[in-house]
Amino acid sequence: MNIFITNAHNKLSQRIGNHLLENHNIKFIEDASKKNSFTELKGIKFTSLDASIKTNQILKDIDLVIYQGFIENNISPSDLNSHIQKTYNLLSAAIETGISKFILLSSLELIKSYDDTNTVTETWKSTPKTDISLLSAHLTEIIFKEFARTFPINISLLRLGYPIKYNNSDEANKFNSSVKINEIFLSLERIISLKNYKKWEIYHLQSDLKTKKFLTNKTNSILGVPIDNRKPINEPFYNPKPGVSKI
Amino acid sequence: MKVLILGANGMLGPWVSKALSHHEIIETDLEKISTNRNFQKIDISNTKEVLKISEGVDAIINLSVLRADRKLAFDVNTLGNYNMMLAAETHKITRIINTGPHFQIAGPTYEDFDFELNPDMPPQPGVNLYALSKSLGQEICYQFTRKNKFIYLQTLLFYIFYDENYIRAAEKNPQPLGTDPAPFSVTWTDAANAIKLALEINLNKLPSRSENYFINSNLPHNKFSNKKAKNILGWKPTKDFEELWNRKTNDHS
Repeated sequence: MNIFITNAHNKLSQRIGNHLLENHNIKFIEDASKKNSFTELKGIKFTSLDASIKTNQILKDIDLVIYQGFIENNISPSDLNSHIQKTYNLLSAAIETGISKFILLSSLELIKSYDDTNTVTETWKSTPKTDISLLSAHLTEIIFKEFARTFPINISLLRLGYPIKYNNSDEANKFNSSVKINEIFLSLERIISLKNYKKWEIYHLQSDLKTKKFLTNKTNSILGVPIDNRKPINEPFYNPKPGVSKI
Repeated sequence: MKVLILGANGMLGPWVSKALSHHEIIETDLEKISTNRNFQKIDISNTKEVLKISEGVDAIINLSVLRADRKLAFDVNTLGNYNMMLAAETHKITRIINTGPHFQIAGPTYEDFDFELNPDMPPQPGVNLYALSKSLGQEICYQFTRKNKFIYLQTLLFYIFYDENYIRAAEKNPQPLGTDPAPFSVTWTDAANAIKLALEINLNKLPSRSENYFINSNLPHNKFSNKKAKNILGWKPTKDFEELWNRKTNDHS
């Protein structure tokens, strides 16, 4: 599968892309302004994701887009505005190019305000605050949702635990909402291989800790992460017309 | 009240300015026009400019809008709202009045299918650039209001504007009688009066600190409901467009 991954400068994107490289063709993209930061990342393309035909061209022959919905290390309102514009431009170009599968990476921080004793699942409303990073994740989810509502496409929204644990000595061990990078890898592999795609499907993913903040029953049962509770699906499922979806 | 108007030189701005003649107004936009009073040149997408001009005002009315250009639409409709709300938070401004098109809530997934649509439905703007960029701006307003307990946000939503002679915005000639108005229509005068009522309302009478209103006249289509604007703001549209929607009214034979 030809997979397009955004935010190539980001550690999470690089780890995901390098992992998926074993079985897929990966095209990394990054903002043109960061061109001097990279020398060795395979498959990277630099683009401003503007409203021009260039954005359509860079998506040619792509089967799946993995998009990071939140911005990090940028705190100005113009960063938020730029991120939102790029999201809209990318989705518009993807639709025009015929891409029908998307994975949106977001954060469980959007629903962290609920009490730890609450049974918070995918059916609970997001309660973002006004800091740029969370607002960017929240608004990006809204944009993706409206595209899913409008076009015959499939979007899997994967809200990740926080912080992400990249190795065993990671400080993420201290948090009751963390997620391991290997759990993210496995979730993505499983989403990519799904045969039953909904137009809009939300998954919450965090490690199976004793005091974990968020329930992950749905993700366990469909993706088998972090605990494999998958059961055969006996319900009919949406199957896009031939030619609309490449799956 | 000392009132800051952002986007004062759009088509609605002069009507609002006239309705608020008894208030101390600061009119802002990118270019000055002949009817302006107390004009300041402000780009709503410039955070510093909006923060500076907002200091000391009692209320902000946002009439700014940009529909077509992919970049400018987000600059004005989304980032502009962020800047306005950051100013409200920074300067402890209580009254915020935002405006937009009705389809920032009632997009095609509602309007194409349903009737009796109301302003308290969950937003479904769809992917239209204007609707979505405005809807994102509205979500930013909502999140700032949720966070800051002193802010009262009222959002007035419009669609088609007519003058008293049934001439629509950006048209030269009146719409022929008996040809049906858009099911979401209002006169400039009634629209401006709704904003005046929202500005002057006793905030303690609002059901919550974030309220939306559909500002459309009493039309028989029953597509969009204006009940909330009438019940809460006490708004009474003066023109019902009967000559456009009732052919019998025009039958003089």
